[in-house]
Amino acid sequence: MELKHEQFRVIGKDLSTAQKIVRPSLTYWQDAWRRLKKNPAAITAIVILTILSLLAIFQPMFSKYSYSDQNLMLTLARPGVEGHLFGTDNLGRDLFVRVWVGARISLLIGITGALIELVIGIIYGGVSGYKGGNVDNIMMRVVDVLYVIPEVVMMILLIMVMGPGLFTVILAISSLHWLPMARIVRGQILQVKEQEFVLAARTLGASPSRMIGRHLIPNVIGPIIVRLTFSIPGAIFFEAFLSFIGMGVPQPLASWGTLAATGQQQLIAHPHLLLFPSIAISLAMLSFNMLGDGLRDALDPRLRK
Amino acid sequence: MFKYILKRIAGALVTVWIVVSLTWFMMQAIPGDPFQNERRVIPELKEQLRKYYGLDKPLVVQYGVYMKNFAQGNLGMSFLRKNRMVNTIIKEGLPYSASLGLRAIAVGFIVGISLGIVAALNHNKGWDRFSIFVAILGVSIPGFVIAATLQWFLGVKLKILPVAQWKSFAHTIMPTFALSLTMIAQVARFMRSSMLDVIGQDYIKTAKAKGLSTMKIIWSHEIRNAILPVITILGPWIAFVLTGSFVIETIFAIPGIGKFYVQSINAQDYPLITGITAFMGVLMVFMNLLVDILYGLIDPRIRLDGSSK
Repeated sequence: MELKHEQFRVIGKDLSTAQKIVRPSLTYWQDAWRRLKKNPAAITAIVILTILSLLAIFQPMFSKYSYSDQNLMLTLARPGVEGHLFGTDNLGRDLFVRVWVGARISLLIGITGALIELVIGIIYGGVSGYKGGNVDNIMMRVVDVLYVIPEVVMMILLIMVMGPGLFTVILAISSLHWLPMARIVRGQILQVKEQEFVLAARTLGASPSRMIGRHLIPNVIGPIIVRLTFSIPGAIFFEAFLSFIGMGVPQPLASWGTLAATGQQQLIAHPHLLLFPSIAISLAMLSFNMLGDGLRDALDPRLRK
Repeated sequence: MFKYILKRIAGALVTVWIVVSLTWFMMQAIPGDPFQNERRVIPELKEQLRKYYGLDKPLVVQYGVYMKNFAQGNLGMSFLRKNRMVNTIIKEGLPYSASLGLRAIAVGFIVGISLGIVAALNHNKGWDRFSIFVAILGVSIPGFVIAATLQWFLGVKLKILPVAQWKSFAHTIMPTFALSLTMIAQVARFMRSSMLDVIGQDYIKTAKAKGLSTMKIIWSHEIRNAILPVITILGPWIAFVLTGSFVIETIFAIPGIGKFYVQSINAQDYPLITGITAFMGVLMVFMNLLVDILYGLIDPRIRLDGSSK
C-alpha cells in the first residue's frame, strides 16, 4: 500500500499541551506503594499482621484472665469450655491470653532482633563501604571469619554463658544475624558512592557522617528494607527453635515458641495446646514472608521474575 | 586446582580451630565446675579430684590439653551418663542422624529441583503459582509444626504410619518429609529463578535456532546451567538440616545426635554440649568445604575468581 501526500493533513501543534506533564510525578515511596497495592498477597499480609499486632497489644489488657493466672480446677480444658476460647493448659491458664502474650514476646524478639541487625549492619557495612581500601579489607575479613561460625552453635553458646532470658535470646539471635546485612549495605554503598551526586556533595564539603546518612543510605534503602522484612520471621523462627530445645524465655513468660514446645509434649491427648500457637507462628511468618516478597517487587521492579 | 583445594582446606582448618576455641572458652565462662554439686564429697577430696582431672591448672594449660585431645579425636567424658565418652555417644547417634539427614537432603534436593524446573517451564501459569505457594509455605511453617501435625494426623488419627522411633522404612517417612520441607521450598525457589535466568540467555535462542528439540534444550542447556548456582548453597542447607534434626529427632524419638544434644542442654551436661557443639561445627565447616571444592571442580570460573561468594 502506498501512502499519498493528500491523505495527510496538518492539524497544527500546541506547544503548551505538548509540554504538559499529564501524570503527576511520584516519589520513590509513592511509586513503591502504588506497586505494592496491586499485590493481593502483600496486602493480605499487611492486614493479617495488623490484626495480630492489635490482638497482641490489646487482648491481654482487656482479658479477664492474666497470662499467669492458674486455675487448678480447670486444667487442660478443651477450647470453648467456660469462656476459655482456646482452652486451658496443664496449670489451668487461659490459652487465649497466653497466645497473645506470646505474640508480644515473639513479635518483640522478631522486631528488636531485626532493628539491632539493622543498626549494626548499616553502621558496619556503611563505614566499610564508604571508607574502602584497607579499612574495608580488614572489616570484611572480620565478617568472613564470623560468617563461617555456625549460627546455631553461636546462639546456644551465648545463651548458656549468659543464662536464659528475654534479653539473652534477643542478643543471641542478633549476634551473627547482622553479617548478611553488613554485606548488603557495603555492596550497595560501593555501587552508589562512585556516582556524580556523591562527588558533588563531597565537593561542597559534606562531612562523612552526612555523606553516609543523607546521601548514601537513603539511596540504598530498598534492599535494606527487603532484607529486614525477611529477618523478622527469621528471628521469630530461631526463637521458636531455641524454645523448643529448652533455651527460650523462662516460665511463666510465654512466647509462641515455648507455648508450642510445651504443647508438643501433650500432643496426643491435648492437640489444642500445640494447634493454636502453631497457627499463630505460621500465620505471622507467612505474612512477613509474603510482605517481604511484595516489598522486593515493589521497591526494586528489576528483580521481579 | 590442587592449589585451590589446599587453600580451601587451610581455611577450613582455621575455621575449625576458631569454632572449637570459641566453644571451649565460652564454656569456661559458665560459673561452677563438675564437682560443685557433690555435697557428700569433703572439700579436701574435691581438691584432689580437681587436681586429678587437671581443673586446678591455669586456663591456658587446660586449653592446651583440650586442643591436644581434640586433635586426637577425643572429646572427653559426659558428666551425667556414667562412664560414657562423648565420642561413644556421638558414634552411637551418628548413623541415625546421618541416615535421616541424607534422606532429607536427597528428598529436598530432588523434589525442590523438580518443582523449580516445572515452575520455570510454566512461568506465570498454574504450576508456577503452585510452586511459589509451596515455597512460601515451606519457609513459613517451622519444622516442628509440620512434624507434630503429621504425627498427630497420620500417626494418631489415621494410624497409617508409626507415630515415632526409627525402625523400618515406614518409620522414616514422616521425619524425612518434615525435615526436608523447608529445603524443598528454598531449593524450588532458587532453582526457579536460576532457570528463568538461563531461559532468557542468548545461547538458548541459538540452540532453538539450530533446531534442537525442546527436550534436548531443556535437558542439556537449561537444566545443566541452572543447577550450578543451586549447588553452591547446598553447604548452608546441610547446616540447616542438621539444625532441624535437633527438633525432628526429639519429636520422633530418634536416638540421633540431635536428640542427645537437646537432652544434654536440658541436663546441663557441659562436656557433652561442648563435644557435640564442636563436632557439629566441624561437620558444618567441612560440608561447606566439600561443596566449595565440588563447585570448583564443576565450574572452573569459580577457581579463577578465587572466591565462591
